[in-house]
This record gives sequence, structure tokens and C-alpha cells, in this order.
Amino acid sequence: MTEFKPMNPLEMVAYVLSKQINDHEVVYIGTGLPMVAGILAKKTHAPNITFVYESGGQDPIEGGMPWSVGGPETYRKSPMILEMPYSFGQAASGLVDTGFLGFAQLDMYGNANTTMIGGEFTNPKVRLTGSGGNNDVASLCDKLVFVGLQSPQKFVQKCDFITSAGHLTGGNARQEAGLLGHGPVAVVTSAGVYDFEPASNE
Amino acid sequence: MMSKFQFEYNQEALKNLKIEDTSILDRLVDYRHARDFRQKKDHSQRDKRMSLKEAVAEFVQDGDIFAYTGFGYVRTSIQADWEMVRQGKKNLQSIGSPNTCQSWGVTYGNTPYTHASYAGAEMRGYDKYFSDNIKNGRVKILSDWSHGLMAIGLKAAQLGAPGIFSKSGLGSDLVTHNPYLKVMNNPMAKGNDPCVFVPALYPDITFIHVHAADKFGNARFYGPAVNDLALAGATRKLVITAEEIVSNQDIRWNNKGVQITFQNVDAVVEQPYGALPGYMPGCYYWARRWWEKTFAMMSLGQEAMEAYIKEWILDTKDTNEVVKKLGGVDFIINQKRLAKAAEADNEDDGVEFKYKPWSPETPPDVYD
Repeated sequence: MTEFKPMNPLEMVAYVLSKQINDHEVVYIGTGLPMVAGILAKKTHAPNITFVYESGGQDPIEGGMPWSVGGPETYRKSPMILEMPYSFGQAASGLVDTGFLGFAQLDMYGNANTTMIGGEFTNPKVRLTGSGGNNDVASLCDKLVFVGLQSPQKFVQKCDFITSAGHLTGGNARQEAGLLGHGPVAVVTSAGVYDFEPASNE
Repeated sequence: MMSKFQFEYNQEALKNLKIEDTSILDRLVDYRHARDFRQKKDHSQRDKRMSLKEAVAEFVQDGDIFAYTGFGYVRTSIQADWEMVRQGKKNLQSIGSPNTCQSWGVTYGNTPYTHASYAGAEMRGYDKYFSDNIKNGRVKILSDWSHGLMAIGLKAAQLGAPGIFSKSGLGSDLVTHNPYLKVMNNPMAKGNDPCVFVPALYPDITFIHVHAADKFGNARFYGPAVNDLALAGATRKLVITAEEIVSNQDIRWNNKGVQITFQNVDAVVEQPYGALPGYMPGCYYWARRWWEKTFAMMSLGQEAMEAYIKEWILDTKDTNEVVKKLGGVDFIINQKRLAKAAEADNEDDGVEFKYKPWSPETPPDVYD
């Protein structure tokens, strides 16, 4: 007899996130939980999605779980392996549908922080990883879905540092700043899925 | 000799980063100097082979802007980086996307300056040492980048363009924490169309690890190029480290995958296992537990890192000793099997990827 166990929060996030991915789309995958969710989606309800990774790998055949967006699972028998500038260029020029990103802090307008917590830039409370590809995926993809565990530390009124622009200050702020694309359309957490108000973009 | 060209920096960023003397920033964007430097070089097809020791001694100068290639731990010339540390090169500015390897160059003062993009190794480790070193002043951030913005800057240099307008970075705090970036209106647009102008970026010295190169420097490699195509065109000095040296005939007859041309190259080094402890496409898998232990040491701080870097870099004579320390022939055979299985290039039925992640209980000689 099969034993049923309740999902742990990470599994819940990965499952809910996989529902944000539509089949046949080109999906830009950021490091961390987005990788897990993307692979889960491809194995279940969206077997025809194409993955794009910033190191240059894209459209790999099925394999093990990658731990790096530059690892062999990202370019496993890829028809063609690109380079970083071109990979982001694809997103900028309309060849990518949705980007999936993690974050350390996220504010109510979907601006993300992966750079630093507290203090000032030359003396932060904690210096995090830095942007990596986070800013580019957020700035350039047509639609963006953030994914992370629900906690008061991660969901803040205002980010200590805006690594990646979401809807900035809401309303038309993103367009006025010159950014293209719709920006964040959903935030997936272990508590559920958030979307953004159509007018205020909160 | 520097060109007499002067540069307009983002003043708000200079304030936020507490940079007073901007002369330290100039050479990264001095495209005229970079052009003159390479114009004066001998462009002939000649035998450029030398050892890794010789290449690092001759081509890395104190204060150079040192580029990290590949993807930090995927086809990255880590053994060249270790030789740089071994030879005690100082005051280097590191640049790379990601910039993972910069952090252990801080321990003995090799890379105290960084053009930051991404520290750590994704799910395998968070770099607490980088965070501590920002706070204690052992590392100074000269500019903060996204991978895409840095990639565009390097690509501009490869293309010989003084800069490229990008749509990355707008509205973020990156454009107020990077002296090289400015928000400017698209000159072709009537009305509001903000862009980020990214100047062409010129590192001083770059080591690119490839699968095969001939003695002139023509190089072929497989796997994600990341920024290496751009870097080969951007860097003032380029050293190719190759798993093997092949004949010029071989390069011509098997020219699929040749991506670096000889004119860009200053030296060619035969360096098998040059990407260890990182991954080399088709050749060897990461030394997973070495990376996990490294991030554990980083969490423990300066004293732990001094001992660890001494053990792995200062006290190993060369790459051959590093290979022995990682597990020798058994390690190499196993890592090759894993890499080929990961890339669907062998019989993977029976290849085991499961392992027990590093912990203080891990036996002292287990790094795979």
C-alpha cells in the first residue's frame, strides 16, 4: 500500500510554479527553485516547453536535475549551444515567453533583491550573491514569475536594494523607466500564488 | 602607457561605492589603449607554447584586470588562477560572470578589487567570505553588474564598438552602483526611450580553457561559451590553456568548434585537467565535495581560508599534484564517467550520481 506524506514547502512551491508554465513556451530558467519547477513542468503537464539558460545552453534533452545554470544538464545534446550575450539578447528581442526567477527579498511591486540586506552598500548587514542573470531576465523577458518560500524576511515593504526591476513604483512606472515586456505576472510561494492588480501593479 | 583619454563616470555611483580616485577605473574602458596595445603586437603565426608557470609569470602583472572565464566552475581555467595565486600576483581587479573564483584570491591579497556580478556557486554554496570581506575592507567593489550588462560590455569590445545601448538594468539600483553605466535616451528615438549605455570592457589578462589548440593559438572548445568568445576579442592579453595541443592540420581538418583565432592569443599552454576542481564538458565532472568544503571554509572565515588555500594552492606545486590530491587516477576515471553520462555520451545505466554531500564527518581525502 502506498504511503502518502504531506508535501514539504519546497515541493509545494515547485508544484504550484509548474502550473504557471504553459506548454510549448520558451522558458528562461534562473538558478535555484525555478530549475526544479521547470523540470517538473516538463515531466508533467508541459512536455513541449523549451528551456533557455544564461550560460548558453538551451533545449537540452531530458536528464538529471541541474544544480547550475551552466552545468551539463542545461546543454545535454542541445542542437546548438549559445553564449551569454546572445542568450539574453534572445529575451530582449522577443524570442522568450516567460522567465522564472528566485529572490532574497521581494516587494509588493515585484521588485527583487539578490544583492544585499541592510546597512549601506560598502558596509551591508549581509552581501548576497549579486544580480547574476536576475536583473536581465526580469528586465528583458515578456512575462516574469518569481518563486520563493513564504516568510516575512523575504516579502518586504521595500527592498534594501533593487537588483531587478519589477513594476518599480506601480502603475506605469515600468514602462516609463524604459523597460519592455509585462514584467512580473505572478509570485509563487509556499503559501500560494500572488498576482498583480491590473492598474496599480501591486 | 595610458592614452590621454578621460572618462565620464556615473557620479552617483562613485559616491555610493565610495570611490574617490577614479584612475583605478580607467583601464577597463580605455578602448584606445587596448587597441594600441594589440596593434603593436606581433601578429605572426608562430609557436607560442610555454608552461603554465611561464605564462602566468610573463603575462599577469600586479594590478592587472584579471578575467574569470567559462561559467565560474564550468570550463573555467581554475588551474591558471591557482598558479596566479601561487606566484603571489597582487592588487588584481577581478571581473567575470559569474565571479565565483575571485573570493579565494582575496585570502592572500591577490584579488582585492572586484567588478562584481555573482559570488558563490548557486545551490552548491553561498559565499559568506565575500560578504565578510566587503564589510572588513579586504575586498572593494569597483562596479556592480548583472551578467547580461557585463556580457554586453565584453561583446562591445569584441566587436570593436565603444559601447552598446542595453535594455537591462533600467529602474534598478545597479545603475546607481556602477560607475560605468549611465541611463541615456536612445538617440534614434523621438521622445522617451531610456536605455543603459554600456561601455566596451577591456580586461588585461584572460585565461581561457579549451579542449584543443594548435601552437599558434587557434582553439576549439565545446560547451557553453558564456563570455569567452567576447573575452577572446576584448582582453589585452590572452592565454589559452588546452587539454591537449594538436597540429595546425588537425585544427584545419577538424574545424567544427574552432572559436578562437590565433591573432588574439599570446601564449598556448598544454594543461590537461586545467579546469579542475570545476567541470570540463565531455571530460570531467566537478569535484563536488571540494566545492562544498570550500564554501564551508569560507563560512568559517579568514583563518580557515588561510589554511585551506595554503593546503590546496600554495603547497601544491602544479596541477598534477592537485589531481593526486583530489584522488588521482580513480578520481579522474570516475569524473570522466560522470561527465560523459551527464552529457548522454556513454552508457549511463549503472552510473551513480548519488553521493553524500560534504560535512565535517567526510573522510579527509574524499572530494568527488
